[in-house]
Amino acid sequence: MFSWALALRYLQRRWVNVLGTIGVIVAVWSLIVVRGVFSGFIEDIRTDVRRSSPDLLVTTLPHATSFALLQSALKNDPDVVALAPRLRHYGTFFQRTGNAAMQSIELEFSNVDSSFVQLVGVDPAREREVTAFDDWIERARTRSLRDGMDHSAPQLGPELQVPAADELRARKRLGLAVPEAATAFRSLWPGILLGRERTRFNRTITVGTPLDLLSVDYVTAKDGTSRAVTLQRAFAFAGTFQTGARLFDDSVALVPIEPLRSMLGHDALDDGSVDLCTDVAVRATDGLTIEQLRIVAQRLTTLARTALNEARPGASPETLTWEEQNAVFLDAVDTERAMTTLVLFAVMLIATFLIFATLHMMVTQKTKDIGILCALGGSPRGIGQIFTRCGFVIGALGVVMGAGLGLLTLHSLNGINDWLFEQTGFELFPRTLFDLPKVPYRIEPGWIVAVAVGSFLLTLFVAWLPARKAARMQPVKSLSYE
Amino acid sequence: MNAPALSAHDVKKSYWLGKREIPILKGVNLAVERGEMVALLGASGAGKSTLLHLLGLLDTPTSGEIRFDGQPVHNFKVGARAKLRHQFVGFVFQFYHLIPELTAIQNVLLAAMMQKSVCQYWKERRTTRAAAEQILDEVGLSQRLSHRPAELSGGERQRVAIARALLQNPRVVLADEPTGNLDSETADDVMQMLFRINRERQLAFLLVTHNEDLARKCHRVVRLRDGMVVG
Repeated sequence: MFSWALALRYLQRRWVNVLGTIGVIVAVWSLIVVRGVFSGFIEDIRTDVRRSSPDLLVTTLPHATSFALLQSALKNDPDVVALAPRLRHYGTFFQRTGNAAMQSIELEFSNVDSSFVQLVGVDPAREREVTAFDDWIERARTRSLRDGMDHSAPQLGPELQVPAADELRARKRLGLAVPEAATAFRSLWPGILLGRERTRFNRTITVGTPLDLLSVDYVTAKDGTSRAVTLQRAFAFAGTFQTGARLFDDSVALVPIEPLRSMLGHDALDDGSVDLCTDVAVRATDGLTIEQLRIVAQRLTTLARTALNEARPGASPETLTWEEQNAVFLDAVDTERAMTTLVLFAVMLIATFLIFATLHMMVTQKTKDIGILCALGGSPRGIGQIFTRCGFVIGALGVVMGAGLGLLTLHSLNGINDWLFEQTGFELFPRTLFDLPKVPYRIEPGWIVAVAVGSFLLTLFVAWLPARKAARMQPVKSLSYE
Repeated sequence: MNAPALSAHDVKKSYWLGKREIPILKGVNLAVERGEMVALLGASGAGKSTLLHLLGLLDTPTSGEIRFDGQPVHNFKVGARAKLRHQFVGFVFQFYHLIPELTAIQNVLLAAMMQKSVCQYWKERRTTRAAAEQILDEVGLSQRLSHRPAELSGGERQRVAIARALLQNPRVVLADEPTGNLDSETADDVMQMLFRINRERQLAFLLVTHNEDLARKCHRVVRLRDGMVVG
């Protein structure tokens, strides 16, 4: 009984112990809030990444691989639902400003310093069967309308062509050749879709605006020598897309695959041309887990290798699941979360060190009291319990209040963010930066329990150390302590 | 024939300073009967406080025996010694040794809490508090129950310490120069009170003191010189 009575009395009379309690509150609160927000963001990021990626991607294909060849091999797998070719290349875009080829300016992107893009040639019809291609365009439309800067894609043709009226209007504006009978005009330029963020603040670009793509390719002559050739092709800005995966949206431009194949020397009408692809996007049977997808990926790799090796011995294609396609990014995000958690654990360690320091100091200050308690019949165990109970109270209060405040903060996060912005103009989580309608968060009961129990046990442990010292004190020495 | 309430048999105690043994007590024999008030006289360094600590089971002898009611108790384990100390012995120190965070009555009640669980104490809290109030009234502090030690005079603090020592109805009170820190008038008051308690409660008292006059008022005087009883 005396250990409880004295523990509570010592805590009441020593305000320095409040610092320890506040330390635990702050540490538990931050571990719950930061982790909750981080997990919310990560969940959103994973959803966006999933949306931007096909279930599986057969990649690392040898030069000039034919899609038809792979298609006939891969479609035999029972878990393959649909296949779509992808052709990756690189280039820069220039926005046409007049009727001469020289009159163009480097396309000014809002969020990147360069107009350099990764071109991904897609077959829109097939792509729709494999990925949420239409959803990418629809998402961009919704967000564009919200921003009041409409770069929405109109009804596009099979090669992503913009409606004839849009191209005609652009041609007239730039003084380019147009037929006399405008009603007979049909779009000539293939369309190009850019990530919404790249054009978000570009007021000079509208649907139909011609964009000149400049690229380079190596060609091999008949005598075996290679040389770089400059490639150029006109596209029409066909609108924007948004998968939500910033890395993909900011770096990729979607173009129809056929014009890209033509540009790279494989026009469908030419003899000996190949239906070129660098990757094959695969839609697998719905509902497969990531482990099951990995098994399908292994089968597809075998099928692709067999098919390719018949024509080109030594080919070593690989098949990546949607997670593996974004492994670097997802691992980086996970690492960042782990690092942040580690930093916050350091906060907890500082708080517990503070508790240890105050309780240790208390034991030293209370040496004489310990001697008195021994003389009154207090057992060493009971004397030690005074200090473990101090730690118990500090830990329990800190954990309960920290966890409560943490949960309350997460529930009110968007309200707090709005209020802070209204009052001070400062946003804790700038939504424009993350392009999110609200700050995401995720309450993880397992994590909260782990933090609460872990913090509490840590507090008890650091209280146990000075308690042990107190319990081991010699009563005679304690009584004569000055 | 009844055994003495408290006795020491050939008790020796040494401390070690490095490899050098420093003998403090060199075979002390002493017995305190029930209701007896014994004065323990001796110069500084004679071993009075060491003997008191050994008799109160706060320390263990190097050799020899300590007996409570004739039963050897010096070899008991730490926990058992604490329990026995709680039931059998009351301590009064020269410097009062009150807990500064507690009021007078809380300091007294602390003695009752030592070996009880929260539930046990809770059941007995009313009777325990009544007993504490009665003892504080007995030592003349019924009006100072809620005062902390810092708000009490030296004499009042020592009275609280005495009340604390008496709450558990001990068999023996060990008092280490209880008036050594008080002015002579207050010291007389405190001593009168101790004699009265001894008389009324038939408690055994072992009183360490330097004061020959005070010692002469006790039933018996034991002198300690160089770690040995000399008379």
